[in-house]
Amino acid sequence: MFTILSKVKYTLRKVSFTLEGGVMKNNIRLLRGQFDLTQEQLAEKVKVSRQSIIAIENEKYKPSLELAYKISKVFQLPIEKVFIFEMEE
Amino acid sequence: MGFIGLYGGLAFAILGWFFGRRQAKKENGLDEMNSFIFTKARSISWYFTIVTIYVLFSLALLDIELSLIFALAILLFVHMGSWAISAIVMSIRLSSNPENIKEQTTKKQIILSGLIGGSILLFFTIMSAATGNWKFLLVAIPPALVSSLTLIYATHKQSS
Repeated sequence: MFTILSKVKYTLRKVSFTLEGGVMKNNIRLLRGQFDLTQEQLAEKVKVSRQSIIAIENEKYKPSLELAYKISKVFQLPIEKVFIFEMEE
Repeated sequence: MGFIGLYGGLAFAILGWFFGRRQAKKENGLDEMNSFIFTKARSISWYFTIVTIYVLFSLALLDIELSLIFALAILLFVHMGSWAISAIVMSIRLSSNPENIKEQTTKKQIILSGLIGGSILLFFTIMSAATGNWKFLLVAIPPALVSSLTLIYATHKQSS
């Protein structure tokens, strides 16, 4: 009985871990500094508005995979070096 | 006269929408965040519309009858208004820089309190004029008072 309960508990924890949200962080501000790019210039390169770059930089808006890829390409880095997904505890 | 108002309004709305989009396109404004904001705002505006439908049902139960056209006009006003306000709020919230967030929040408070207070007053004035029931104006007092106080507070905060 105890084993079954433990198994159920473990499965539930596993499921909740999978469903739990995380935080998407990014290094855009830092990379912009290194590449000497303004928000306006980066926005122009990836064909979005400056407001979108501000929102992404401040982690208020999660970009689509396509936009994340475009931004990473500007900095010549793989996506995971620009966008870091951190699991919430 | 009614036709001029109806179709004239529609023509102005379409022209505004068209030129607005053209200008936004020039500045890469029609991007994925723009579409996210407007989709989310539309979904929020449905909550306001549902609440309004319930308010209209409640009015009918209280024997305050509104004509079909007037009820539809109210629903359109609430739906489009809440869509626009939600889009403005989301747009300001998403694109505010943390450095000057305080200043932007105050500006947002001024715009929103003016907009919401004005809309509420207009809405209930139209309601009381159309139904001939002055009690509608009484309902407008608390929300209008709250938005006026917010407006005064935000203006004072910005000037100091």
